[in-house]
Amino acid sequence: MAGKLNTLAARVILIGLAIHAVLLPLLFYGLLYIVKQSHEERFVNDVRKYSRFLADYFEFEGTVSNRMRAVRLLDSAVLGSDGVYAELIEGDTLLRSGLLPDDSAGIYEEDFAFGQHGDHIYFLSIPLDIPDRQVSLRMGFDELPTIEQVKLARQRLAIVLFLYLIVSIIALVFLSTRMTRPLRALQTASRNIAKGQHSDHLQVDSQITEIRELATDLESMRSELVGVNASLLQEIAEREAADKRREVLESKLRQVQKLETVGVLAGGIAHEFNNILVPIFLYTEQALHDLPAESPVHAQLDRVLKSSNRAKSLVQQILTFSHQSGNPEHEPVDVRPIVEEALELLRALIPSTVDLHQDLAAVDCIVLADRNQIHQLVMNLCSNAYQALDETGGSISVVLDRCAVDEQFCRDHPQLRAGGYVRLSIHDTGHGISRNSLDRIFEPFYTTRAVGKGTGLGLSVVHGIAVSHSGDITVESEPGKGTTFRVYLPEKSPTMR
Amino acid sequence: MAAWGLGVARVDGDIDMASILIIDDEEDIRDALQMVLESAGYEVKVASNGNEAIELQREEPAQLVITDIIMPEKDGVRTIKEMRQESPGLRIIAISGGGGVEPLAYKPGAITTTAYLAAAKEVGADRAFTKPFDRKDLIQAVDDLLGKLH
Repeated sequence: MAGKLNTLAARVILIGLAIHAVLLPLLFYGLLYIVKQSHEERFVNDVRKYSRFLADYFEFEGTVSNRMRAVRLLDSAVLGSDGVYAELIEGDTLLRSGLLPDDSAGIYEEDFAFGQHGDHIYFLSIPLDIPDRQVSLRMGFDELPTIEQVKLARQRLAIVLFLYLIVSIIALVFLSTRMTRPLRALQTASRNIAKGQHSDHLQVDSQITEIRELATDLESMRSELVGVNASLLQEIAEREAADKRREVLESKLRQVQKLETVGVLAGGIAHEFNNILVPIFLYTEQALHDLPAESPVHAQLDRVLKSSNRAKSLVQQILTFSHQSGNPEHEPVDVRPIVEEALELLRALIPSTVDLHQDLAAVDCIVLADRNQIHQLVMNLCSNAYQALDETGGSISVVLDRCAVDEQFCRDHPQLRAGGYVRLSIHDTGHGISRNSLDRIFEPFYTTRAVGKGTGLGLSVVHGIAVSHSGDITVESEPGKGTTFRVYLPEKSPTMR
Repeated sequence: MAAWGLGVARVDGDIDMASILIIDDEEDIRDALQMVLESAGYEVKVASNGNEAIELQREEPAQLVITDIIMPEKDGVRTIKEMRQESPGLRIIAISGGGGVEPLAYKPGAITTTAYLAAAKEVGADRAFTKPFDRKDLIQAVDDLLGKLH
C-alpha cells in the first residue's frame, strides 16, 4: 500500500486533494458569509425604506386622526410586505392593523441587526413627525424567508463546490497519469536495457523539458552501450574465429609435419631397401641364368624373384609417398583424358552394383604433371572409394572442374597459393570415415580395413602425388553417408605454355 | 675364374681387354655386380669411393665405369665429371637409389633419385639405372656401350 502511495501519480493526487481540503472550506464559508451578509443587508434596507415610506404617509396631515384610514393603511402595510406586525402608538392608545392576530400584540424590542433576539422577527419603531403629538409607527417583519434564502444559497454553494471537487479529482487523476506516462515509458525502456534488450530505440515524446532531456540522455547512453556492446561482440567473434582458424592450421601443420617425418623415415628405409634388393635380384637372376633349364630349383628362384618384385613395388610406392621418386621435370598435361582412361579401366574392375558417375565437362585442365602419377592418383582414389562401399553397392561420382583458390582458402590450406586450380573431386556413398581416422588416413600403413585388404599405402601415395605437384588434397566425410576427396592441382595457364 | 671360362674366352677375343670399374660404397652391391659382369665375360675392378676409383683409373684405365651416385667422400656426380675430363672416351653408367640418403626436403621440387640421375647424365653419364635393376638390362647396356654384340 505504501508502495502505491509513493508513486508520483498518487503523490500528485494526494497533494491536490490536500490543497482542496484546505481551500474548499475556506471558499465555502467565505462565499457563504458574503451571500448571507448581502441578503440580510438588503432585507434590513428594504424594511427600513418601507417603514420610512409608510411613516411619511402617516405624517401626512390628518391621516393619524382619521382612524379608519389609519387602520386601512396599516392593513395594506402588512399585506404589501412580509410584515407580521404594524401598529401606531400614542401614549397608551394603540392602533393596530386588523389583519394581525391578537396575541401578536405588545411585546417587542427593537432590532438593530438582522436576526437579533432570536425571534425571527425584525422589529423597528419610527417616531412620526406630527406637531404636538407623540405618535410612533412600530413595524415587525418576518426574517424567516431571508433565512430560508440563505439556507438555499448555502445548499447550492455546497453542491457547486462538491461538483467542482469531483471535476478536480478527475482532472488530477487524468493529469497525473498523463504526466507520469512518459516516465513509465522511460522506466520500461531502461529496464529493458538492464535486461539486455538494448537494440530498440528509446522513443519518449513529452512536452515536459525535464522528461524530454532525461529521455535524450538515456537514449545517448543506450546508443553508446549498443556501440560498445557491438564492438565487444565483434571482437569476441573475431577472436574466436582467429582461435578456431589457428587451431585448424595447427592441427593441419602437425599432420603435415607428421607426414613429413614419416616420409623422410620411409624414404630412407626405402632407399636402403633398394640397395638390399640389388644383390638379391642380381644373384637370383644370375643363378636362374646359370642353372640348367631342367633344374627344379628354377621354380623356387622364380618365387624369390616374384617376392622381390613385390618388395620393389612396395618400395616404389613409399618413395612416391615421400616424393622421392618420379620425374622432377613435369610436363604440361591435360588431366581430363588421363581421368577418362583411368575410369574406363575402373569400369571393368568394379561390379555393376556400383554406379560410377562422371562429370568431366571442364576443358583445358592443363597442369604440370607426371602423367603416370596422375593416373595412379585417380586409380587409388577410386579404388579407395569402391572399397568404402559395402556389398549392397552405392555410387561413386568423379567430377573434374577448374576453380579459383582465394586467400581465405589458402589460409586453411597452407600448401596452396591463390590462383587457378584444377580440381578433381571423388565422392562415394560409402560408410564414411570417423573423425579420428580422418586425421590419420594419409599416414602410410594406416588402414581401417581388414588385414590383407590393401597395403595402407594407397592414400599416402595420393597425398604424395598431390603435394609433389604443388597441390593438396582435402577430405570431408560423414560417417554412414559418404566421403569426398578433393585434389587441387595448380593450373598451368595456356599463355604460359 | 675357371668356372666362367666362356666369358674369359670372349674377352680374349678382343684386341683390347674390355675392363670395367665398379664404384659403390656397398660391398654387397660391388660383389654382385662384379659376379654378374665377370660371368658375362668382362674384367672387373672395384673401388669403394670416388677418390679410390680415380686413382685406380689413372694407373690402369678401364673402358667402362659403373658408379653409384650417392656415396661418402666424393659423390658419383663429381667422380663422373673428373673422370670424364681426364678420359673423354670413357663410357659411364650411373646407378642410384640407395645408400646414405640425406633427409630430403619434404616439398615440391625436392632433389630425388631421379634428379641425381639426371644430374649424372648432365655431366656425362651414358646410361642411368635406378636400383634395383634387371641383370639383363645391365648386361645389355654394358654390351651396347662397349660395342659388343650379345
